[in-house]
Amino acid sequence: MSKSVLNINNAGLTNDQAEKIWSGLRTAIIEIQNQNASELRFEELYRNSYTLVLHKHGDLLYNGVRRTVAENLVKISNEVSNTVDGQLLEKIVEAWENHKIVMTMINDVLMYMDKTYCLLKKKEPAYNMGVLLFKDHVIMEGQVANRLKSLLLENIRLERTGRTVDRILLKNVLCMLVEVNVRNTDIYKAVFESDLLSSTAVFYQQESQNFMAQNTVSDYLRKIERRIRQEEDRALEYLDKSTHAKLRHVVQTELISNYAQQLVENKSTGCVHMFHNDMVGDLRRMFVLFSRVPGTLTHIRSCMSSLVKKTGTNIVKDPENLKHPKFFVQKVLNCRKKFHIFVKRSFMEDRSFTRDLKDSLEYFINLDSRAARYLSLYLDDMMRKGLKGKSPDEREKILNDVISIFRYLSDKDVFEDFYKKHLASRLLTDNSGDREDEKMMISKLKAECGHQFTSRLEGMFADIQISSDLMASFKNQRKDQSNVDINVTVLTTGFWPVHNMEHCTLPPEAKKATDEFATFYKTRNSGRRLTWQTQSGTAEVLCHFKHGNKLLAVQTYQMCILMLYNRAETYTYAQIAKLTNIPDKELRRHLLSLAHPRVKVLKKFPNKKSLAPSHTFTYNYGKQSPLFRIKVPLLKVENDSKEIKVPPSVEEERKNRIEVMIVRVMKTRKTLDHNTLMSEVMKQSLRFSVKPIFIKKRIESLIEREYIERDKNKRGLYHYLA
Amino acid sequence: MYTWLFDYVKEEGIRTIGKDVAEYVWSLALAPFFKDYDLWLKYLKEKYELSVVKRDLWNCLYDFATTEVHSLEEYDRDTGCWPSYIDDFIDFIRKSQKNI
Repeated sequence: MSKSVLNINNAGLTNDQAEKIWSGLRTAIIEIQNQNASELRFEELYRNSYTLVLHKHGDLLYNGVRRTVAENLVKISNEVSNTVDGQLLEKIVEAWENHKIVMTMINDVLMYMDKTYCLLKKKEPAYNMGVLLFKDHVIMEGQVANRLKSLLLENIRLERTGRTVDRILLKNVLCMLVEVNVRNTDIYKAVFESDLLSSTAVFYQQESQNFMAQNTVSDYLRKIERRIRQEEDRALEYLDKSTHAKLRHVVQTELISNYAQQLVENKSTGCVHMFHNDMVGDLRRMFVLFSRVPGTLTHIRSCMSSLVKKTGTNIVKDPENLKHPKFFVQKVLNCRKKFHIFVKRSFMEDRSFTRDLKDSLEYFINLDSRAARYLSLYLDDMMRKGLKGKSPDEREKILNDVISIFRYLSDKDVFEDFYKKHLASRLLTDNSGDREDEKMMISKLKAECGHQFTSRLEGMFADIQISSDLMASFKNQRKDQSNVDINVTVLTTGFWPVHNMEHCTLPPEAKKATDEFATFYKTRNSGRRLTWQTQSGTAEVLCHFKHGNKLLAVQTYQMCILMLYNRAETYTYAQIAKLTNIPDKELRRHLLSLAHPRVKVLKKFPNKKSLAPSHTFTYNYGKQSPLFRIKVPLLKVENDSKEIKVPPSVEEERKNRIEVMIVRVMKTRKTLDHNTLMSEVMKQSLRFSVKPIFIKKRIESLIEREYIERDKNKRGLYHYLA
Repeated sequence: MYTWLFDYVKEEGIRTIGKDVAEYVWSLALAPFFKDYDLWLKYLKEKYELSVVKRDLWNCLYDFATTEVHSLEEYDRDTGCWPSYIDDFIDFIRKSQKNI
């Protein structure tokens, strides 16, 4: 009979009636809280609360519910507070889950209130209200929050040291903290998150310090990797989503950022050690880890750059390079290959790394002109000997290696200069072989630099071919067989490197032969002028000795000297000089080589290395040798270590090129201002690096020679003069 | 008038005038309104390595003497488009000022 009756009449409820209804509801709530909900009838409760709200007794209802829930929670709070630490987490989760079930049921009963009264009065709906009450009475009561905090953090600490913990329990506690403040995660943050972050920082600070002191960088990197994985795992498994990024940031800062530079620069096991020992995997690990934290990769990059530059500089400056240019090229290639592997496999072809490697290689290759020179010497060596006997693939690979270093040269014309000189020497002295390799090299250079680069080189080849055809017909036509046999190569000026040597006086026998050829040539090509290049060329001289004739293979100058001995047995140095007209420096080495103890074709008096005009040279009639054909080697020229700078011929060439460029630009544009002219020229100068002051001087030279002029009013404007 | 002087003074067939001749004419024509003429003379004696003076330098020197405010900070090597010997001259002044 304590059941209420729905009053259809809609004549308001009196306060007494309302109180009665409320009291019934209150009992129901208590039953629910005591887990006795099965006896209750849902529609009735719903109806009752509906009635109360409808008849403007919402306040009574709301506050009543609030009070009832709170009373119950106080009881629960005591239970929780009195639980020992070891069971606190379970207890509070249990209490929370129960509470949620209770509140859900209550919420169902009070739905009408939520939708009307709560909205109107801007009060929290029933469920939320219950949750917040739980927060106030159970969690934030007394020491509970603090105890929760320490328990949670302790669990995490244990897990970090390798112990297993109940992750599901932790997850539930943390979810509770998140949900319990309804609208935001402030409680979660205050009770848990901010302390988590700070204790994490401290934990890893200590761990790093201890570990770094006693372990290698590689080991440390492995450890970081493990730790980061663990923390990611932890975050996914039981931490709230909002914590993930923050935790990651703390971990990365403590483990990586703070130590990045130290790790790279560690003297015994850092990056330099790793590079030297090809520790590709470790570097890769470092790269991947550092990629997470902006600003740390630069340390690795700059370590690599300075190592490459240092290694490379040592390679270039090695004095052994001159004797063995092969080593230079090999070492540079090895260096390049080694670091390419790192860039590819450790640094995942990252663009900045690729660019830095290229810059570093260019840096030491262009320190001075030595690299260009060694490269050309290497090529010379290969062409003369090294390529023989190798398969076509191997040959091509060697040439490709040369090209790949060539690409890094910024002053390509210096290389061209050396290459031309060496090529000329090869073409003129070595008549064997089909020169396929030479031609392959030239076509590769053409592919790199355009046909302009190689047009003169190809002219050299053409000359050789033409000369050999010429010689064939010359030999056929020869009438006067009494002249010495002569083999002539005709060089077109402009294709070949320039030698400014004075002409020596040829012995009459030789002169007759050269004249004969000159006449022959003029019949074929009138209007051309022939100049005999006596500084090069070889001769074979049949020499009469007491113990038999010998055939001496000598240079042209040596031949001139030897032929003198047809007329006398002894000459002084001064006499030889006058009679042959050979330039002094060349005369010295050609003469001394004939008198050299290993050769002994001439006897020198006094028998010292020094040379004075009065020293005499006598034909060594008594010379003996097991061989018939003797090659007389020429003393080497002293090496010009000044070749670190750009050779003067290249310097001249550059002046001309720049001037041609300036004139060409001015001719097209007619009028141009200084800065535009400068930038145009610099753009077009691909063969070598050029400084602005150089261009400026060329401009002034052209002004002087009246190719261009300055504007009358504006100094910085130039006009083309036709 | 100044630019005409160059042609007047120079010989037939050559494009330049001798350094001493230039000095003499400069002392008459330029010195009165060239503030740093003494420094210029010093530069000619100590640093200028050629024995002749080219027309371009002659012409531009007039501009330099009259319009250029000789504050070294304002002198712009790259965009000023002065002949390279005038750049040299400025360097010379800077160096000698440092030594003082």
